Parts: sequence; structure tokens; C-alpha cells
Amino acid sequence: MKWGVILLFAAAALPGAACATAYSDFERGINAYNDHDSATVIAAMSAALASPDLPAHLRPAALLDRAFAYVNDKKYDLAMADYTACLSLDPDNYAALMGRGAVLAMRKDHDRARADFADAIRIRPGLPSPYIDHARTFLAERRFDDALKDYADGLRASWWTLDFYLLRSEVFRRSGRYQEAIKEDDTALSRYSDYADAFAMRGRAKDDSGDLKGALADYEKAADLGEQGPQLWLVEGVAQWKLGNFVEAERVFKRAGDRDDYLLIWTYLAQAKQKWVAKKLTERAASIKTADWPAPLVKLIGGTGSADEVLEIATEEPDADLRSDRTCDADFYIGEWDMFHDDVSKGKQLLTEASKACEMGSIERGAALVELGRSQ
Amino acid sequence: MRRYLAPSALLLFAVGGPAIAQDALPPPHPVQLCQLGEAGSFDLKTDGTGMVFLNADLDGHKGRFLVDTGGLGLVLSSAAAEHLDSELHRTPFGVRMVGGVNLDVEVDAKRLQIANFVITNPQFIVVRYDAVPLEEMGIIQPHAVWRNYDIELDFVKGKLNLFLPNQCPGNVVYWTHDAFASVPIEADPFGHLIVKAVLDGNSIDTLLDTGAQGSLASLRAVSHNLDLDERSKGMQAEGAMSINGNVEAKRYRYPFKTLSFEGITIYNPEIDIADTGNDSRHDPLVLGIGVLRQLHLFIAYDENKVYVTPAEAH
Repeated sequence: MKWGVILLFAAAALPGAACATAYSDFERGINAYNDHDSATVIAAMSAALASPDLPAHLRPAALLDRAFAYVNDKKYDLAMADYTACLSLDPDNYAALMGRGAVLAMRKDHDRARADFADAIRIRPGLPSPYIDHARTFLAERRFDDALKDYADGLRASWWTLDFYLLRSEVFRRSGRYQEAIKEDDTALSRYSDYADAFAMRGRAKDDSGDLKGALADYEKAADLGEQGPQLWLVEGVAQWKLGNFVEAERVFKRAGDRDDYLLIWTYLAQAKQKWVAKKLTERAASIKTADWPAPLVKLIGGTGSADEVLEIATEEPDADLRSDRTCDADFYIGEWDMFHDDVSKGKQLLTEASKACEMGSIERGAALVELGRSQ
Repeated sequence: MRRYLAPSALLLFAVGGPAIAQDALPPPHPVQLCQLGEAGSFDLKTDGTGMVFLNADLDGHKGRFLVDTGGLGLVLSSAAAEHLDSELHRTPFGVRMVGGVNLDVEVDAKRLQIANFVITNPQFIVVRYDAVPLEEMGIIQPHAVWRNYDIELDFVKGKLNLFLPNQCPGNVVYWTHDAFASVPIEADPFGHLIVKAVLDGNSIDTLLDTGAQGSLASLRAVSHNLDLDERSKGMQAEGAMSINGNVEAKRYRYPFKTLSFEGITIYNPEIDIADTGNDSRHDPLVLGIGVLRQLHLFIAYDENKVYVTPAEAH
């Protein structure tokens, strides 16, 4: 029989849960997932999964969406359970493998993360992402050569992904192999001459190798090609600062206004070299109500915090990688603060610590070495 | 996310005639007045965004293909094409995507197997790997693969079923005794399904597109059909959106009240309005999978009709 009217409602107007079926709960979960509404995803997919009426073929998708929502809510144990349940129903589910691998990597369970990423590579050997994530687990363990091998494999599998050249450049730079880094960037640029990221990356390699003028030329080219933002302004400004061009450095740092705390600190460092400081950092320091990094640094340099507070927060960070980064920050910025406050001996001691403790390739390590050279 | 493709030239597909493995066919499904000849049944996979896929084996490589009633035949991601033992080549019969990107690279594979269907020497058009969902090998327009069959899409059971044509004209809705809607369609050579819809009282061509996530209309089409523009009361700018992964468009939303077509009314339809600056007033409204998943569809190409019930009708 043919009949009159089917009434449908857009997602926002779906009937409430009182008359919901497992399928309508699933649909509500899908719509919430596409709207990035984690709470509704979890509620709707939990209701759908609890029903024996949910068709078996929809269960992997329901589990996957709920896992993503749990990750978004930082409920990692629940996410892991859902990813694993999804994979038990659909062992070749690429998204579940990548998702579970990401959680494992975040938890520094690198061997198991690598196993998931390797399975993802087996399922979709032509995609770049699993090679990149696999390599990142090696980078987290400072296994640079293994990461380079992963990137080489990724490049063979998806040769059109020029990012692999830049990722290899980054590894070479962090290993102090600057000429090899520059060679990777050059290769990327030979294939795509307007590749802004490649100019920025080549600038970093030149910067770290001491070719500051060459670095600035590359940063400028990257900016001309549209690569604008705090990351580029920071490295460009620091290169000017290293050259002793403090007025120009300040001008570059100020492009971010007060949107980026590190750039605000560096604006201060550039001004202090000119023997004056503006009030902006002091105002920002006075307004800070959080201990989240780098707030303690802003408070220190803005005059409302202390070196002891910075060191305490840095050294008590439970995550080893973050603790290392923050200890590097603390050594460098407290050292600079001491230098400006005429405690040169203590300042040089801390800058020496920074030059040793900061990871090769970090901005603070390079700046500490330049500052120590100036103070000889 | 792929939105829609606008062919500007005929694309010739040299898909070999589907060979049906007769020994694997399920028995015909009994109906009251006549017997539909079921020719095949395939499991649809559903991903976390609600898109649907078919598992396939392409020259020994297993993967999934997006089922895309708004697509252009057989499309392969460059990521998958790289792993075939076949050379890519340019074709004079290219297709222009929205935004002016030419799709003019092809690859000839040897064998595409979907469940028990085998297609020999299928020819795929190749797109950049990020022009299709990352996890998928490519895109299948069902009508291009199964040109001589009617197609049923049952999202609740997760099935794409094929039927021999001209078996039970007007009486194909076998899955329920409840009411159904019979909607006239205009199917173009690509198998695209265009229905005449009424959006807030104004007629507008509407494409049923399982390959699109949401529903989308171009600003020029909305302006032409409904006399709306970016300054109309209720029209809200919502930033930018990407179409087909390569074209940036201004995005608008408007509080449409109803979208109706032949017995079906959707209240408060959520429709993105896109302005790429290069649109046509004749662009169809694209009705994506977000709405279509709420329906059970039987596409009777032989009758130029699509039969529709709610997804859970049984």
C-alpha cells in the first residue's frame, strides 16, 4: 500500500529517549559524534550497546565512537576497553588500531603502541599516518635511527607525502646532523618550491648550525608563503635576538600581542637588552591565576613570582619528559632573569646548566649558548 | 569529507560486465503478489561517522569502498593505486570536481571482488589519497557497478541488496506491510538520483547522496530557488568549510522549516549553505547520509522511482 506522509526530524529535533530504539540511539550517537558532543555520544551509544536489539554490524562503530568520546573526556581506561572490544568484533578496524595505539603511546606503553600502529600499516600500507605515529614512539625513546627508518618506509609507501622529508629533517636536526637536515628540506623544496613548512624547517636547521642570516632568509620566505603564527615568530625573533638585533627581535615578538606567553617573555628579554621594559608582562603576570606552565615563568619575569616557585613546579612534574622540558625552561629563564638583575655569576651557572640539560634543537639551548658566549 | 562531484564531461567507464557467482546466490525472497528476483546481497560496514562501505578485494589487496550514490563510478585513492601492479595513465575523458580540480588519472586493475561478485579489468579514476576518507581504498557508485539491477539500501540490517529489474513494478516494498512512499527520480547516466523536493514551499532539485555526510546547498541555488542571500533575515555566517577536501567555501546556516518530497516531510532540516564563489544556480540540494540513514530505500531504476520507508519499518 502506498500512503501519505512519513515524518522525519532533523537530528536536533529527534524524539527523546523515552521512545528510542537501539537504532535511533545509535543514530543519535552518530549525529552527536559528528557534532563533537562527547556527553551525548557516550549516553546514546551506551544505551544502544546495552540493547540486544542493536544490529551486530553496528556495534564496532558504536564502540569506536564511544571510545573517541572517552578519549575526549580523558577517560582513557574506558576508551581502551572500547577500542579493544571494537577490535575483538572487527580485528582489522584501522581507526580502532590507530586510536588504541595513540592512547598506549600517550601512556608511554611504546611496545604495544607500535604493535597497533604496525597492524594499521599492514591494513592500510599506503597511508602516512601509521608510519608517523610508529616513528613517534621511537622518538619518545630517543631512538632516532629507528624513527628515521620508519619515515623512510613511509616515504616509500606514500611518496607523495612530502611531510616525510620534513619529519626526517626534524630528526636530523635534533641529532645535531644539520647538513643532513638541510638536505631533506632541499629535497622537499625541489619537489614543491612554494612549500612554506620546508623553508621554516630549513631555517631551524640553519639556525641551530649557526647560520643565523641564512635562517632568517628562510623564515622570511616561509612567512611570505603564508606560514604565519607564534611558532615562526618565536624562532625568527630569537634568531634576531641571537644576532644582537634586539629592536628587530622585539618587533617580531610583538606580532603575537599578548596571545602567547612565551612570546611575551621573549618580548621582555628583548626589551631588557635595550635597558627598558614595558608594563605588559607585569600586567599579564598580575592577572595569572593558574600554575599551568609557563605561567610560573611569566610570574617570575613579570615580578609576581619567584625562582623557587618555578623550580619547584618544574621539578615536581610527574611526567619525565615534561619535567625535563620544564627544568630546561627553568634553568634558562631564571638564568636570564638573574643576568638582568646583576647576579651574573648565578645567571651564567644556570645558563650553563641549560646548555647541557636542554634537548639538542631546543630554542632555549641555542639561546643559552649564545648568551654564554656574549658574557665571556 | 567528500561532498559532491560535479561532472563537466562524460567519463567513460570500462567496467567489465559483472559476473555473478550463481552458486552463491540466496534464494529469491517470497512476496505476496509477485516474486522479486534477488540477485545479490552485500554486507554494509558502518564507520563512526555513519558512512557506509563495502569490503572488497582489489588485485589481492583487501580494503573498503565508500558507497556513494552521488559518486562517479569507481574511484580509487592514490594511496591504494600505488600498491597495484598497474601503471597510472591520463585519460582524455576527465571529470572536473567542484573547485576546478581535474580528475584525469586512471588505473586499470585486474580484478575487483565484492563478496561473490567479480568484476574483471575494472578501470578506476584516481584521486589524491586525502580526497576520500583516509581509511578507505576508494569510492563505489553502486549503479555504475551494478547497472542492470535495482538496489536496496537497508541501513538497519546493514545490507545492500540487488534485484533483477521489472519484477514487481509498484510492489517492491517486501520488508513491511506498513505504508511506503513512492518517489519519482531522474537518474542520470552516472546513476545519480535526483528527486524534486520542496524546501520551504519552493521546488528544488535534490540529490540523494550516501557519499555526503551532511546536507548541502549552494548559496547561488538557494538564492535562485528561494530568493535568499547572505543578507536575508535568519541567515547566519558560520565560518568556512571544505568541499571535496580541496575547495574552501563560506558556510552559512538558515532556519529552514520543511523539506518535502512525494510523501516525505523532514522538519527543521539541517542544511549547510556553501558559497565557493564558483557555484551554479542549478546545483542540486545534496541530501546526505545523515538523513538517508533514517530511511530504507529501494531504488527501482527501471521504474525511475525510489521506494521509501522509515529505516526501522519491518
